[in-house]
Amino acid sequence: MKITRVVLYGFMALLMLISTACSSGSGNSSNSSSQPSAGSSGSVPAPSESKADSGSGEQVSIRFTWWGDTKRHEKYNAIADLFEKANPNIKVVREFGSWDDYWNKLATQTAGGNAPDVVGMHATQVANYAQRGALLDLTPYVDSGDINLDDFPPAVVEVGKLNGQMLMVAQGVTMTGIFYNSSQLDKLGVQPPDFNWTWEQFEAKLKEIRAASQEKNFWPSADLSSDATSLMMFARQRDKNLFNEDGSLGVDKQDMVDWFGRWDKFRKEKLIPDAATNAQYTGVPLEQSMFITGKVAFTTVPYNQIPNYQNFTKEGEVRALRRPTDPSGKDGEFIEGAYLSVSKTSKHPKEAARFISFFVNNEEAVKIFKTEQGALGSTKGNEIIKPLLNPAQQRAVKAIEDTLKIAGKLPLPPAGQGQVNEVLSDEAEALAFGQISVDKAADEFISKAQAILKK
Amino acid sequence: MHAIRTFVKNNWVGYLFLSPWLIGFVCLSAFPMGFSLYLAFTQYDMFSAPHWIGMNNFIEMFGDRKFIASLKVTAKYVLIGVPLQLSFALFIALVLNRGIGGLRIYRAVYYLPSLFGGSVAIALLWRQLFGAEGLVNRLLGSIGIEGMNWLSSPSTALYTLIILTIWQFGSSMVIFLAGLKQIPTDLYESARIDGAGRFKQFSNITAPLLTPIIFFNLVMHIISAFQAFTPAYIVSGGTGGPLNSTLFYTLYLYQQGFTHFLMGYASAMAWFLLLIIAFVTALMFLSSGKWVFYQE
Repeated sequence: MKITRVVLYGFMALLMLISTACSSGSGNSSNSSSQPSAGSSGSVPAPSESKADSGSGEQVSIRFTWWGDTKRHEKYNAIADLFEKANPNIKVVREFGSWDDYWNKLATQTAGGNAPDVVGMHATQVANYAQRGALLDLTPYVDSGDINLDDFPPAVVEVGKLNGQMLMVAQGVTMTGIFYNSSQLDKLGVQPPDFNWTWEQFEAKLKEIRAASQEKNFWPSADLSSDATSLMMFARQRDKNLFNEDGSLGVDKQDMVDWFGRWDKFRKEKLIPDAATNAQYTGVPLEQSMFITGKVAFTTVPYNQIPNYQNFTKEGEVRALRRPTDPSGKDGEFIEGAYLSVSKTSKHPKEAARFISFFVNNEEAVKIFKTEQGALGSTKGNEIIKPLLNPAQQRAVKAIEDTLKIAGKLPLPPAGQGQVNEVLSDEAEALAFGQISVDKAADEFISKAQAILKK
Repeated sequence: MHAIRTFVKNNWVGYLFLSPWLIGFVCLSAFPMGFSLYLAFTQYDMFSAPHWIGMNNFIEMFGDRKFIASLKVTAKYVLIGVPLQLSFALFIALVLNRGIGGLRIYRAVYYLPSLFGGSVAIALLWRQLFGAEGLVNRLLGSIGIEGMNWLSSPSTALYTLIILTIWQFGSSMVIFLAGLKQIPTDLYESARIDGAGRFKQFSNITAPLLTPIIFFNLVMHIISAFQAFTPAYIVSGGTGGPLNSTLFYTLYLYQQGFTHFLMGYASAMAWFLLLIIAFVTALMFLSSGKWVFYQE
């Protein structure tokens, strides 16, 4: 009798344990680590969150999440350590992952009301969160001085705003351009193009390269017909936007015929790879990409990636150019980059705001961060890091500074942006495989994109 | 009321002992499933509250060309992959059952692929094998045939994935082997005395007595083939390309839910898949009376 009772109590205890574990949705993530030594796979259970309010020296913990590779994790961890040292009452619990995993996880966490306090944000993804009200307006914290943007040029501050709300603070500012490898062009005996070049000069250069090398597994340029950023710049050169301010589609059929037609012509002239080769290199890691393995001479990449690309390049310098321009049109470039936001559900927005301010302003922090995500938002920060940069980083900053003079701000894209990008790549692929004509690709892109954006 | 009270009084200890499983089932299976059934009738982007739209998700599905494409790809994968995999498994089992030495070693070695065949590592290996500069093309090259890019050509990409499932024949082979061992040897003896050749023995003794095992393997593998995800996700880099030729149903479902935040649509797709699988399984059970032979 006694034994039965003991067993029963044991089960009751177990039952309670399971049911509480099952019902508590919030709180500790298993994938967090507070030790920089613990790599991306390390999982240290997060400490229980204190429910204390801001200020008052009480122990508070905020969660910070970002995407990146191992090298980047080291930098971010070091900065978070610095912040903890400077603010002994704030603990920074960290969660991170690769680009794809990061956005899947963040979406799920946000949906569950369990988003981290400070989240790494990106220009191509912010629409999903901002348009759905998942991000906190930081204006009060800028006004109160918790976030210090005194050293930020107005254009950079402006990029983080939507409808007068301050939603993101720039970690790094960048733009995409065209990359080439100096030694590859040297070997072909081709003069590197000017930083400023037109579409006509671009085409002439591709033909020059093709004439210099008939090699079967080599093409002058990557196929950019499915690249949404490239299409956005093309639209801006025509004084349009791919997505209008009100979230509708900003390009018409003629624009798309011109766009698809241009790349189709290049493909037929063997200036860009065929469809099967393109498909083969979809989603491969950088070191196996067509550009790094020397299979294409030009490709499009954000400028801040110059040092990263240089690391994987055995021979020659990775250099960057502007996008080809339209002499009779406008400048197409717009500001991109990585940002920090605070999620709306944060219980410690003040601490989160102070962490962001520390990340983008603190002298030691920017010395660690350098050009990881492009030129820093803070002009003072850029002065501090300038002497510390290696040649590749200096080239990145130079390209960003040169382009920043002409770059504009993109209207915040609509929530259906991701789907429209997918339609673009579907149509571009079908065209590349010769399944549909340029005219049909343009037609289908317009009708499908409009249907998505209407919802 | 009284009946309920006696029921509780008589059975509560039993349910208590069942509680670890019961709680897990309710929290981790029953509730999420019920919730997804609700979401299937809503528009839900994971950020704002679900918005009831009735049958619209299901109606939209049939106008969605990519959805139809994904259905076709999955049907092809199931219809071609499963029979080939089972025939191959049965063939190897028959060979192994002929009493060759070192059976245990062969059995273990052939079983290995089905242990890790569904893993990411193997899918990556596959990508390498069938790539333009992969092993398959090198082998073909050595005998003078110029290979092609198997994975990035819309006409061959799916077949590399079918070969991958055939390669994972081990688990069904082990079950076939066990089934073959159960067939009484005296049947073969008397057949041999009556002058039945090897083929006759197979078609009149082995095949009929093995039908329950074949049926079991068929049902299990068809269900799992409908749910295949990892190989297509890895081999196509998550796109289902080239030209949607490896866009498995589950991969498209995943893209809708987690890339485009169309959770309502993805839930509707999940429930539709459940209906398809239930329908196909029911068909198989109904037909089993005609061709499955139980000894008793």
